[in-house]
Amino acid sequence: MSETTDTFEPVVVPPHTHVRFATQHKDEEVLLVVRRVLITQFPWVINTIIFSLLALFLNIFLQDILTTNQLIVLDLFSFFFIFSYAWVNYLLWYFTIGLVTNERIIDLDFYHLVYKEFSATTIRKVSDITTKVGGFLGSIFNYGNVYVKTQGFQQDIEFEDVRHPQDVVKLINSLMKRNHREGVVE
Amino acid sequence: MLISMQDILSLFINPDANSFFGVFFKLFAILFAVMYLVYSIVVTRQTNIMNKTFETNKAGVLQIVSNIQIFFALILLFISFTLI
Repeated sequence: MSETTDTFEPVVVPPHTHVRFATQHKDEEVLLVVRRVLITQFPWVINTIIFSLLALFLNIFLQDILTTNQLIVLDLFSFFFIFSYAWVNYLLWYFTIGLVTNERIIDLDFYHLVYKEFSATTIRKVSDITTKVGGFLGSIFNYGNVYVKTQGFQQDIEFEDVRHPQDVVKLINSLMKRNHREGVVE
Repeated sequence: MLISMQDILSLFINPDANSFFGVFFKLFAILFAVMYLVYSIVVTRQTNIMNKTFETNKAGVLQIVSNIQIFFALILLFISFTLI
């Protein structure tokens, strides 16, 4: 996994990077931010392109029916609506993330803009981690799901369609080992 | 005064601003512009909440782009009243 903070990539967060979340503890440090891999966002990108082309083609058919002013208004409406559609989808993708800190594993999901789901567990409570890489695209672009199971009846955490899922597991495993060692020493 | 079928049809398909279609178009444009304004306010508020939930160095840019939509909505409202 590359050590960059590019907007489009899941990243290992370098120490100097400004990444914070709402319930972050004082000494808690964000080590990893994961998002769905970009290729999974293709449907809404394709939709945006198709809607834009449709809006352009519609001009040809409507120029005989509508006045010039009406056409201009219709075009502006189309442009702003398509822009909003793309922007909201981008926001949902950007803010639907998985976080690994030195203390916890956090899953933050936004659905349809107004619904938010926040799940978190401490590294100490993690009992099992599994990855699932499947499908044609998943194998080619090396992305898949990471399932973090917790002890007892606590909610399990799932990172969906993240790049290099093995690296995420490796990081969580190393944190679990460190946590275990510290627990034994205490 | 006889009104032909052609006259009645022209009320609906004539794009002229004073025709039935013109008024209908204008009313819908205003309605959609108001709806878009409400929607853009919701998006702006949600972006603010999202930025507080997960804060990165791009928070400012994201907020500005969301705020621009309110400006877009006001443009739509303005042209719906004046241009058509």
